[in-house]
Amino acid sequence: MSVIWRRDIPRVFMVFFVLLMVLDFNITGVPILKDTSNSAKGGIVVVTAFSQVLGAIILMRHYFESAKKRKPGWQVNVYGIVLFLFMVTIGITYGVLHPWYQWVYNSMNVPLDIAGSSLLMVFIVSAGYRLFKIRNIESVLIVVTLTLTILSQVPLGEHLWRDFPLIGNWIETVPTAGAYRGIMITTAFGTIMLIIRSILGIEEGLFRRV
Amino acid sequence: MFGIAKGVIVPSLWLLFSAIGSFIGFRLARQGKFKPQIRRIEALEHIDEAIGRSMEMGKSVHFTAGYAPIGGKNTSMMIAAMTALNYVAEKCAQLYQKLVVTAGSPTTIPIIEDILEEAYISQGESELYNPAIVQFFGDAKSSNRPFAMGVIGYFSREKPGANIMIGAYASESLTIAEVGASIGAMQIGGTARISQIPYLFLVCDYCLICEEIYSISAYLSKDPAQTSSLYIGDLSKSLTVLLIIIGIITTTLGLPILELLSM
Repeated sequence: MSVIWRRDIPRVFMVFFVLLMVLDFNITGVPILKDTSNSAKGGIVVVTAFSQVLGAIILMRHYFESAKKRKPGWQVNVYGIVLFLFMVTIGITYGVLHPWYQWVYNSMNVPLDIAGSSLLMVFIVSAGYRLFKIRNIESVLIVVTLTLTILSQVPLGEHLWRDFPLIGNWIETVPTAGAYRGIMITTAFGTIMLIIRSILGIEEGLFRRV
Repeated sequence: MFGIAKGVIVPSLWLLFSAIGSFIGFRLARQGKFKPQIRRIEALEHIDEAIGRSMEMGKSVHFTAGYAPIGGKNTSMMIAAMTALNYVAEKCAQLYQKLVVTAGSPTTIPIIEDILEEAYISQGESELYNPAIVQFFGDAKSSNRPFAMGVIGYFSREKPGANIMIGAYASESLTIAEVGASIGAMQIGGTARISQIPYLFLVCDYCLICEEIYSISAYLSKDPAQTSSLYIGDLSKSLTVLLIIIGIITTTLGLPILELLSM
């Protein structure tokens, strides 16, 4: 029974919904097919909503355990619990447009998000500085391409030579786009074969052989 | 009125032939009549080394499948990530190695917990499994920053010896990988998101590029049945390239082949 419940039933559901979506995509003029497909897509929204609640519960459980055991940084976890309860209470009671809710969101969430994005810029520069070293012909090619692309994007490049933007545009639209499309085709095939393997029961990812 | 949608006949036939080819290859492989080989994939060869290195250093192994939920365009990448997680979890259970899995989406948590529990039970180490292995760092509905910052915080506190990042990533991939590099973790990355491949390739010690993540299960299990489907996929790709070349030549010559293929 455990094997049927954990492996076979989920697989049956997966095959049914994959076939439903494929048939809906390929066949027209069958209203029941369209309606069933739309209902299935709507079900995803319901599952996502429940998963949000699940995620919140798991996060709170983690915070409570950390605070209870006084793990390093437990004060931040307590702060997180208080903030979570505050936001949930205000959001449910007065709605997300309440000034208190908006103030917390705009004064904490947004600046922290921006700070996180700026960290990414720092990491890009630090990674590039640390790793772009000329060791072989491929690294020479990378550095030259990188330099030309940067010069094509900044105003200084156009000031130095007016054709730098043209070179950068060519690099983006010809070799980069060609490689990008080639990888996209192979990735798409890989995705299709993965789903076919999952349906046929060959793939051991989500539905491991018991 | 019942009918076939425009422009889907040829792709649907392609899909059908791929499925039939996979099934035939699977059956032949099961009978031992077909044994295709996979080329060496460095990143997958070094997963054991990363886990062993962490064990020798007395540090934990960190695994993350990224911020994305299971659903939509990320589904295939997350399935591949769960396959890798299953392997890593079984290895860590065998070696009594501490494993921590960070998740950025609540939809993945039940699946991750189930995979971990099954992996530990399959190795006879069910007492080692603890739900606290899975740490959730915020939902990425509006941003993946909470997840990235949570993982960075974990790296700063715990300093894992290995960081395995296989799944669907956005901008948090470089942030996490760069911090992982700064703490000296051995890093193996992989995603099918083309925009993130350069970052992972730059910072990680070993990287799975796009389609390679879909071969994880076949490569690590060495199962001829799974390898045969990879062979069929490569065959489909080769035929597609041939079709592209034929299309270029016929279009240049003015022949209306493309209209036929656009049915």
